[in-house]
Amino acid sequence: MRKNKTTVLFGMVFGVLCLYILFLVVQLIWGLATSFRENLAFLENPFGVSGKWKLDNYVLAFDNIKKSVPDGQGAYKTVYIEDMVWNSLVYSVGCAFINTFVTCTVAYVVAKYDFKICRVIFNTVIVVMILPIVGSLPAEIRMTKLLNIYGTMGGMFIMRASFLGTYFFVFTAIYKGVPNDYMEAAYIDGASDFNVYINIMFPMVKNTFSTILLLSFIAYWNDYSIPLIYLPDRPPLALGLYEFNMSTTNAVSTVPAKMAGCFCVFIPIFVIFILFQDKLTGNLYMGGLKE
Amino acid sequence: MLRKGRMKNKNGEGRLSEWISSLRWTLYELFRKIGAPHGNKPKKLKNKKKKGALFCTAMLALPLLQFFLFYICVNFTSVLLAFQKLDVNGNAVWVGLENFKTLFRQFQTEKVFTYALKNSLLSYLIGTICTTPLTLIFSFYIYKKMFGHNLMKIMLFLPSVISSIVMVMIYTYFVDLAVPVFFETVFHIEIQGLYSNAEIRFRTILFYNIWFGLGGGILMYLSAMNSINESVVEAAQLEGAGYWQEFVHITLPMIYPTFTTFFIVGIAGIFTNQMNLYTFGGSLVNLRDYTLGYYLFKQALDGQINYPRLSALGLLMTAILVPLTFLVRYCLEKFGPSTEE
Repeated sequence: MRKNKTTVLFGMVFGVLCLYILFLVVQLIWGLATSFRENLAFLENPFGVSGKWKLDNYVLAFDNIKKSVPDGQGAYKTVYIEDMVWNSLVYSVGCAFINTFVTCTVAYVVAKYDFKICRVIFNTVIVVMILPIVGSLPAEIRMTKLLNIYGTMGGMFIMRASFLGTYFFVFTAIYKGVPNDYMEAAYIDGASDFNVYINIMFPMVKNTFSTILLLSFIAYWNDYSIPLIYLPDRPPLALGLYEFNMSTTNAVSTVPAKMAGCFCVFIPIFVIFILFQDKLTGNLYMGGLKE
Repeated sequence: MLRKGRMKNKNGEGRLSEWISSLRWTLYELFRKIGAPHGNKPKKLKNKKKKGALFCTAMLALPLLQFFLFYICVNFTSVLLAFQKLDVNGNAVWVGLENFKTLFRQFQTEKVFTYALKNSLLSYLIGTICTTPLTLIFSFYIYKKMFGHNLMKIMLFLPSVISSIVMVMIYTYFVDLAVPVFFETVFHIEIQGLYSNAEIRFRTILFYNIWFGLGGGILMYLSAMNSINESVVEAAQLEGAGYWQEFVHITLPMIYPTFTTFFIVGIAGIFTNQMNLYTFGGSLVNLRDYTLGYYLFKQALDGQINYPRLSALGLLMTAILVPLTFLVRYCLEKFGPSTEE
């Protein structure tokens, strides 16, 4: 009887999950199919796959994902998709690496050193996490302008050199789980604190580090709202796609062209996801908000 | 060297590097003092501690400076800005409670606040009620390695990997153009596009946020579940506990710290969650679909003239959320399940 109940329960969960997958997959396939269709055929039947399939929409999207930005001398210049890809790469690799490395390093110091300030930092991260401060965006913009880093990639990296957030607890939990014996043995052999961190402790968390690095990279690659505010002159690809979507120019305001634009941004991330899906969906245990 | 440094100072150059080195020295001294061992310890141990303090100083100096500038100073400036006004040149002028008075007047006269507040609360409540149990049950399904668990895990996580702008674009055109045709062809029912229909647009957006937001917490819950000691689960199974009992009496209490973390952190989202509205409609979203998070973001983009009023609004929201967060945390800790049961 109990087994039957469990079977029914898991059957229901399986049903909902299948529905979820179906909805997601149908949407993505529809989007992909639409991106190859001619606009007239699409308008005749938006749900079908009729008409000739061509790559023209991709060429159109490739040519029209662009953005006019101020060139700093009072005029405007156009940033094309190649520059946007480069901006996206610099932005996402730089921000992801700096953010993950800083978080990992501060978590290591907090987990392994018994100074009072380490406990203060740990508790500060908890307080910052649960203390909901709203509406500080204007003050942050003013701060970047005051420090003269507004609109620069270096400024973005400085802003991302933060140790706050969930991943801090993930790293702290892992470092706390690593026995101190490894460090002690290295100290006896004459290793410095820096060597112990880089050559002994860091390799022990390199799997988690790479998972978080990848997750952050993807998040920054997909992000358009922060560059929209802080990097008006150096738009990344996601922002280019956003502008492309909002564009009302006749040639690109067709749904097939917009779907092609979507897949220009989606495909690189999808390839990374397929290649590293084991790593990306790996263990990230963080525990709770108590020391 | 010293002379050269002084000369540089005279010219106004090298001031930053001197300031950084003095900051590093102060931090080093601070570490040395607060970390200094009590009593007399062997010289070797003292040396080790000193080296440790030096290492910590080097590793923490820049992150702490960043924290000071972009958390402490930013929030302090934000509080100050709530009591100021910016003139055309961007200079701040002290105006006392003027921004708050303007806000309260706007609350009464402008409908956008009523809509935004209602939508923000609705999305948080429905989101929490639907997402939390579903995420927990899906995680448990994958944790127990049920049929197709690997595929489910990948598919649930996929929307978190895809750019929101890509997902939103495909979803919008799909529900607006393809779904009505599908309904007409299969069920012979004529329906309007789900996004272009103003009556149900917000519900369409809400559905998107809930449905594709499911994958977010799954990784963390799954990792927490995987860290549960196997022997505890085996003991329960030997006692005859089924999956449901295992979920309620073992899994939930064991992952409760992760659950509370998510829940508490999620409270801040009540007033900051944009619900991807900017992605859906840019700055042209209908007033009836506004959330407070979207309002804040859009107004901040509209120009610095809005900054003081937005800071005041943020301060008001923080004043509501802080006690609420601590109350929820207290309740979750007091009435939540215990692993000692």
